[in-house]
Amino acid sequence: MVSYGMGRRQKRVWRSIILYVLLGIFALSTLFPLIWMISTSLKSGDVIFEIPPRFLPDGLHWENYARAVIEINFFVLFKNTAVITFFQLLSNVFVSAFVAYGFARFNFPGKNIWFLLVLATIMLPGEVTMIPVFIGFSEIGWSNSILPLVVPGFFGGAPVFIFLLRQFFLSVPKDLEESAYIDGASSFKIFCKIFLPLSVPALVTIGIFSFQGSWNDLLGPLIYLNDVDKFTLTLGLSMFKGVMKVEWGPLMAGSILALLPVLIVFFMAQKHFVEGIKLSGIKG
Amino acid sequence: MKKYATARLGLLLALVLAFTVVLAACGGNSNNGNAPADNNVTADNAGNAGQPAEKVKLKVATWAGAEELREFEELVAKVNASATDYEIEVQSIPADYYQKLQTMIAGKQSPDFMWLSQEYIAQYASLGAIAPLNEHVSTISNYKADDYFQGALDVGTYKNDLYALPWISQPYVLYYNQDMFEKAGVELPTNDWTWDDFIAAGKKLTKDGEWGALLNNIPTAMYTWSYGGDVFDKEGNITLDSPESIKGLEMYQTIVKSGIAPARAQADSMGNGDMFKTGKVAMFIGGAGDDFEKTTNFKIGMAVPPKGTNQVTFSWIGVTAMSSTTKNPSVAAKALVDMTGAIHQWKVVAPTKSGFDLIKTSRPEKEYAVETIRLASEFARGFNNQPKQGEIDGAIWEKLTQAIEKGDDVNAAVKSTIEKFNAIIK
Repeated sequence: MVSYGMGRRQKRVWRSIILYVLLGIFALSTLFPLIWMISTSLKSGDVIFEIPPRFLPDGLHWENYARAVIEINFFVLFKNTAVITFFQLLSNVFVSAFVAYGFARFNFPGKNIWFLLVLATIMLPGEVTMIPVFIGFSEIGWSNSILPLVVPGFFGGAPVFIFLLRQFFLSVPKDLEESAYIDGASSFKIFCKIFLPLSVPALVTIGIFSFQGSWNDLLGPLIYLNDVDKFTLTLGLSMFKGVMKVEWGPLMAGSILALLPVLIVFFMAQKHFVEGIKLSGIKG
Repeated sequence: MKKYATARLGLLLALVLAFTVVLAACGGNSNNGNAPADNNVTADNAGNAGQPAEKVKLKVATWAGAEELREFEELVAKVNASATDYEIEVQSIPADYYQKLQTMIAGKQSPDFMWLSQEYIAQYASLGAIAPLNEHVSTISNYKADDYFQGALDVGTYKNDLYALPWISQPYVLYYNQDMFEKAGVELPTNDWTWDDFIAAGKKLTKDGEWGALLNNIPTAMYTWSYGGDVFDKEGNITLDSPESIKGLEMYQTIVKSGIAPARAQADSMGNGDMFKTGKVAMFIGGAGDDFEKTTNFKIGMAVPPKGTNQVTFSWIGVTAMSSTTKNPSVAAKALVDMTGAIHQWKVVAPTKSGFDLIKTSRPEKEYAVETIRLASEFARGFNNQPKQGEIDGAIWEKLTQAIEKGDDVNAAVKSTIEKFNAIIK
């Protein structure tokens, strides 16, 4: 009996050891690119492709960070990126929620057809509309400005987010708003006071997607911005990737600096990911 | 709680409102910027006696990034300083260069000048996106057609019209690892080597883990040129099935079969240049501007690539073309000539006979090879590019290069390649 118990315990210990070792290996393998990126950002130009590779072969080359900041005017680009991201985030989250509310709670002629049209725009790849849309914006004199990047979002948000939020709003019990309606709240007030607060986790999730999407967007700023002092970080970083030569050290250093805000936002908003859906307003 | 929410909503509305105001202001600005015809007069020059009142504003699109971009901007500033009738502005396109360029052209926002790689010239010219330069440059005194190497000027030409000025031409040359040659007791490559000499030396240099040569870089068309053939002739007729072309392609197959080079996939996975740099390969045919001298720790030598019946080599050629929508083409052409001349004093290898002295000062490690590079430049050339060159290149890779490397019958491969060409051209 005793030996049987020991065996089971030992088995359990062994099982955890194996599990942890495996998990450790997986964790390391996912972290490896990041570690490699950091080590590359501190290497001088010639040793990056050395075989066999070494992590920090020739001292810490902090000048890569200095070059990343100076050569592409990092802080100006950072500001530009932040401005565009701010407005895109604002429109993606709030305008999408507003439109989704309409689709979830109002009945109007052709509602389903309109919704289908919104969904259809998701299926349409951006490359197809890129040139006509570009021509349209140049006609009204908006090329080489951030307007084509931020204004459209305020006229309807982003279709994917509208779809997600509509589904979310549909799951909000009608009783809640009906009681508010009886108390004299307008539809807009119900949206602000009931729907938005109830959907915080969904809004945060969308906010993170939107933030990440516009922070990392390359094609949009590339097509619409012409002047270097209007560029975003992704464009600035591409400058280190030349046709003939890629400057890996400064490229990686700049990428790490550009990555920091994304990481910070993610960690700040992380708890909302796991918080679950707050729909505890109804009892009985 | 209620107050807080109202305040938040108020803030949101205020932001949107503020944004709308900013939007209106910005919109106004860029509207002004969008009417270049009214905007050509610079404040400084307007009414300045003795000088033309208007400076034509021009934009040049470049793929140069970071340090290279700054050097280019400095160069353009110098060109501007000595110009009286134009002012060039650099527009950086740091990623997806051709996608952005084509979008701008489609949106009638084309930059006045654009850097192009040789394979785009025929396409852009046939679509009318770039303008022929002949009538403009013929009147410009500092445009010297004779100074250009013919091969470089040829790639800027489409249907007998000059569309672009070359600013760099990197002829492919044969780099060799002198230490490996000496160790194996093989005579060093010379400038009149034939492909047979190349194979013979390669065989002596190939042993376990080491190869005589690396071929991945060489465009398949170059073998046809070696025997007087070509893929397309200058008029755009398919000449891939001429006896000369076939002979060249057969030589390519002979080289592959001789086993002096690692298989393509293996060489690609190890990094082409890197195999030469690390001393695994004794001979490498690549651009004359490559930085092997600085990155290798063995003695390096250079010769022109081996010949068949003709001495010829491929060259990577970059050009600047002029948009067909530029407002004042004659002034723009003058600016293009000035700017291109300035780039010849910056980029190595310049496509001009007079540009060679620059190598000694700007790339001193290449001084030993100046004469070889000059020789290679004289017979260096690009492709006879077709309007659908991108698809043509795809067909060559798919139907010709891979088939030859697999050991398929050359004539059959040529036949199926031509079928594919015809499908593309139709």
